[in-house]
Amino acid sequence: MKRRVLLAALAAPICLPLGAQEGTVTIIAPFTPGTGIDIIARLAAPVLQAALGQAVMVENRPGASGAIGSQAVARAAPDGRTLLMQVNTFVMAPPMFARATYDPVAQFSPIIHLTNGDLALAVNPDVPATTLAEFVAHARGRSLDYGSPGVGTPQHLAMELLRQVAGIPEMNHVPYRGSAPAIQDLLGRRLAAMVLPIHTALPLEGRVRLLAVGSPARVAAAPALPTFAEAGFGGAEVDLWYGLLGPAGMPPALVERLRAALAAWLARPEAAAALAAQGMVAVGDGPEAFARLIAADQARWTRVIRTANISAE
Amino acid sequence: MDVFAALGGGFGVALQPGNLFLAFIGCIVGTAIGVLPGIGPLNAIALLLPFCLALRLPPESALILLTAVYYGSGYGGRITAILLNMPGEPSAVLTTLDGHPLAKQGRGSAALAISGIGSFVGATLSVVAMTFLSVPLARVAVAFSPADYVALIAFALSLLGAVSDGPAVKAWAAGAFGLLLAMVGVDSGTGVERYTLGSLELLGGIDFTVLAIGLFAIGEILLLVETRLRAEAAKLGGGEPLRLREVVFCLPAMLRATGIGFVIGVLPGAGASVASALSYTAEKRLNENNGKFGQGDLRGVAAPETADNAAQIGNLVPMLSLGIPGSGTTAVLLGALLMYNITPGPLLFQQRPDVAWGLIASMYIGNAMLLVLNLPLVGLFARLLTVPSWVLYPGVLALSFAGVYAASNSAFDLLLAVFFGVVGWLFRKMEIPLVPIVLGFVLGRMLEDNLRRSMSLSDGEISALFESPVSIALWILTAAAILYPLVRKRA
Repeated sequence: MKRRVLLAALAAPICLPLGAQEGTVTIIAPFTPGTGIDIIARLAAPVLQAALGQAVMVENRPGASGAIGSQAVARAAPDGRTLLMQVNTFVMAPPMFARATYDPVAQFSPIIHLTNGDLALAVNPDVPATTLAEFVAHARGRSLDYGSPGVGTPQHLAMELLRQVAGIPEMNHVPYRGSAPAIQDLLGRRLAAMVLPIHTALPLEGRVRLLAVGSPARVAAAPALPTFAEAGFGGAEVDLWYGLLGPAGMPPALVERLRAALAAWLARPEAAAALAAQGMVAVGDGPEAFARLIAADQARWTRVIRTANISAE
Repeated sequence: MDVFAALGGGFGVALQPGNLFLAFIGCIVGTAIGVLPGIGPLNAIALLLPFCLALRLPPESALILLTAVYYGSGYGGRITAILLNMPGEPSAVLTTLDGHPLAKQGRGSAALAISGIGSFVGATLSVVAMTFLSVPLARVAVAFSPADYVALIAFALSLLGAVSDGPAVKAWAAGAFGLLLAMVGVDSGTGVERYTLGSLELLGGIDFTVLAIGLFAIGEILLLVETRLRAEAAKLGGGEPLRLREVVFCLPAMLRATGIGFVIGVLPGAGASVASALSYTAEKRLNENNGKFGQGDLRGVAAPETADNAAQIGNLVPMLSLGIPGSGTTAVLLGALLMYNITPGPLLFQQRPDVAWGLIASMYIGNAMLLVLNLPLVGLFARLLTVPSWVLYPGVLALSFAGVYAASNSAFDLLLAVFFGVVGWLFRKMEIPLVPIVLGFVLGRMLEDNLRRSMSLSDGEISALFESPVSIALWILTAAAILYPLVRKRA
């Protein structure tokens, strides 16, 4: 009886990784279920499944700011069976690690830049500022505390970029684990400011004051909010972008097939509605434009990170 | 009176046949999720959400279904904790302490029944509290600062010595080991890698599921294999069924646990694990002279299970009335609300009374359903023990590995779980209690995060930890909890 128990025990873990069958396409979402990336991946999966006639599943591979999932895709065969859904963090994570992780330009085939998510700068009502310029002037005189969901997140680096662009000598970054506890401290007026996704920030209006949006143009959800450039701080623009990639060297015809299917879906009204609920707008740029965005953002964020000497998660 | 009228309207929504059916399905799915180790309500809700959208369920129906999965899971985690000494959910860890000894005495059914009743009491009373106090409570929760959390966690840690039955020194050592495990990973403040041994997988720290499944499920099975399955396993029946007298006897413990659980649950930064740990140790301390805690005291099962479910409901309060989720699972529920274009906050109750009150009404109904479902099924659950061990334990092991793998899709985590299994097996042989390790692990991470935040906010001023009345009160309780056993020993 003892031997049978042991045999079964040994067999159990071996059987599991074989769940992915031949012909199945896996979209790796390098963050936990329920995050923006995961939701977009789960929206895209049925679209690709219908277009390819193959089963498409989403696999969450969280860890190390998304580096674990991205690395897995970088090492996969470029046959279209392993894809990666990513957000800006994709280009922000590698320069923060002391070790080599992956090269966001050389090791991937960009497929489509699906959507953008808008960010807004929020301050607690005790901060004596109703415009971005007043906020910057106030911040120059002291070391304000600001929160973020973690070191090296787009929300952290957005504030760091604003600090560098506006020439604020010092701001104190307080990293949290996820945005919920940080928002609690913003509402409790213990944090002065925080960059928030617009769909998270708008419901809090009244208990926080929104000063500007990070996008290049005003956003439909909050037309009264100026952009950073309009408020006098051009060059500090920042948003969240989401896109689908594959391993480097995917055949162009295959990339085009995936792009076309997702672009057709983005053009449909129900896609716009599903994205709007997440505070996002459809983009749909193809591989060339997406590759340019990745290269430009990699250069920009690497510079911001090196200037501020940020390392971590 | 307004509240009753609104609640009446809510019952009108919740009692529609379709919504009743969804609540029922949610309760069943939730219980199943709770039983399975590793797979928690977070994954289940994240996976069910697209189905709700695809089926074009109206928002109140989707929320009724998803929330039922959430609180249903609070009923499931206890089953394997009591019968097999393997908690199905993090918050059921404390239930093993008295639940499993009861099962060994043949009173597994009684333990299952009292924990089901406790879950019902905790959840229902918390829904009542939520019905009347939601908005003011949530405002108080926002005032709770990182420094206050530090004091609360220090208080919870000071009770670690009381958690286990053996020598307090071993419990403290085990708790300290848990604290050390929580330090593994990238330092969130400076980016320094701590104890990662150069592994990319350890950068994000050790996953709770991996630790709990390794220590409890795999460790227990290793011990059984070593003793050729002749270790004193739980047995079916033989013991007396649960009597009404015993339920009445446990009632004060349940009421106290509801209070503790609900209050801790309303704080977005604490959680069900802290709530069940505090209520268990509180009961143990209160009944030092008349209890047999650790050897199978029914109150030791009722208290943590009641607090667990009370905290789950409490967790919904800041989510619904402020839009701040208190846990990963409520964050996904919040995401679901936003997907339906519904904005949580104080205005939710005015703008969408059908959703807010429909949900609250459905929680009364759902918890009643869970009680009705769970009590008759106790006998069926207990029959789990009649499954031959050569089927049962490999099955449990397979499910455990599936749970670990489902959490992260990482083979590294499987190996880590096996490592902790060996650790758990060795510690059991050395009679080092495992519960303080898990609690130290959970509390350690919260302690570090909040200590760093409060230090960062106060520019390193340590006195900031002792500024608010809440934190001073908690520090005094902490000092009392540490000093009391020493003073009493001398007297």
